[in-house]
Amino acid sequence: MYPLSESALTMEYGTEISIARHRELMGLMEFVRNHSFPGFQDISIAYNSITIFYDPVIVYQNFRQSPISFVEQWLHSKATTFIFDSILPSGREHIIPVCYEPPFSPDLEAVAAFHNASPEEIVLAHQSTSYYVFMVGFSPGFPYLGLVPVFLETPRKASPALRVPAGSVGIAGRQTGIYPFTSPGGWNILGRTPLRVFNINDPDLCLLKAGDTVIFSPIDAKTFYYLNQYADS
Amino acid sequence: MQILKCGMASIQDTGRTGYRNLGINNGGVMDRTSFALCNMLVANDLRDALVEINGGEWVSVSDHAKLIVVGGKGYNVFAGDQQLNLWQPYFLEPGVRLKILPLTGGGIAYLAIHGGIRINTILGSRSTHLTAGFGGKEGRMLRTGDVLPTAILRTALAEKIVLYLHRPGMKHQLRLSNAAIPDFSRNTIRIFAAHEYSWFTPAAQTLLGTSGFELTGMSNRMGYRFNGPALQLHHERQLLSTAVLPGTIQVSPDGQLLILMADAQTAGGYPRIGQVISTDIPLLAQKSPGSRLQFKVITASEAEAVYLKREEQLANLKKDFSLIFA
Repeated sequence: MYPLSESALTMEYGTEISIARHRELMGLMEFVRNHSFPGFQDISIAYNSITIFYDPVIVYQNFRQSPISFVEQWLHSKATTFIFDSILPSGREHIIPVCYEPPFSPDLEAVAAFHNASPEEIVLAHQSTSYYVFMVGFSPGFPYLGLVPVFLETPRKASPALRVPAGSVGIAGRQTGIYPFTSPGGWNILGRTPLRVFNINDPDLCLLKAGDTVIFSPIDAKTFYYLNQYADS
Repeated sequence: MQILKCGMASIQDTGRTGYRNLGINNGGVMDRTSFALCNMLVANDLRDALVEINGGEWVSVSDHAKLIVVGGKGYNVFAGDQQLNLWQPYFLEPGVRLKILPLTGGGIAYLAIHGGIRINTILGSRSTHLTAGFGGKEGRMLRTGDVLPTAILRTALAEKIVLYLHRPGMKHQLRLSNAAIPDFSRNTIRIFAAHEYSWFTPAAQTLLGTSGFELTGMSNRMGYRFNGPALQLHHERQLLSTAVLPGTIQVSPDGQLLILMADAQTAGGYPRIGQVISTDIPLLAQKSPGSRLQFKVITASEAEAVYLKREEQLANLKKDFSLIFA
């Protein structure tokens, strides 16, 4: 456990990427939400950590002690009494259509060359497994999905692309993800989904949330244009 | 209120909490101290939305009289031909043009209007989220021709301030005392060691606390990038992406510092050498490219004590301010 700032505390759990451990963290996160303390504001999850956000003034007014040490002790007691398999929130399952054809797959050839494989083999490998949503970050709605097959493990691009169109599906290391907005980006882009992954007018806001699972389903360009929910791409 | 001329400006408040798991950052103002003081001076709630001006000239006019104030660093303010001081509440008559003009090396100015900017809230905040394009005015920077909805009614305290300003000779007499105006000239930013501090070589740790670091032009509401000695890791190590916040000091692979600011993403994977203490983030926010800064390492519990003391001072200042008009 360590203070991230005067108003945030992070607890690490394990040092590697593990779906089983992440599900336990998801359970702990729900437990914390349901048993919070005065001044609690938010809790977020990442690959192997959760972070509690709080208002130090309210914590101090209620407990008359250092808010950092209060929240540390509080989380420690919650984490040690929490029985990890008592709550296992079930995520939703999604099938996400992806078009792997040009011009939606600008880095497919380079990734294929990097792995000494054909573009078809790369595409098949990418859709061969279901992915788990570890976290949403980088930008609103951006899902960090894993794990891509070892065979597909690819470093980030040496220099980031200045413009990655919204909906682009990329890989980095053993992660894969979807860009919700047109932005610069360093991940290798293998395809594009016509589905919007973030919509401020949707009550749910994000298509994908931590704990969900995703299967990518290939579509052709014609189907992509038919399904396209992005006005600008 | 109609905008007749606009540089880089946006509507901001204290931002959004509770949506970090959807990748939605807190956002909000860059300089929370100036924000709180400006809202106080026009009898606003300390969460009310105002205009943050990050550069360029601002000219606006309103059909209704407004109690306004401009705070921050590095701007000249005029109401018609009359020059106003920063931190000076002013009763702006209908049709009189308000001009906010940047000085060389100007920082960030805040224009607060009594009642706040009454634009719709989205997810509990009026802050502009530029990446996702929501909040503020249509999710974008303000521009010439925009009309901002403002309040017409006044609270009892605002009414008393307006009466005070209408007394003979008092029009320009109300101003925040020098002791309460933030000192933006300090070039030492206090930080505490972040989780990956020990990943860096002893030489890097020493350099962090002793060298000067120059703020570059590659700086915006998302982050401030610095030029300085390259800070090396003991050995190449990968960090799994984890939560980051404004004030988080990331070290990029070339050894240079990037300090995350108000619009930073919610998670990051670069090793973090330090965390700017919350109380000094406004000071950092007000620095312009070319500034040479130093970092002073204190402990997290010292940072916390500074934070609690600062919040108490602001609360007391607000109480004292309202007592002037009791």
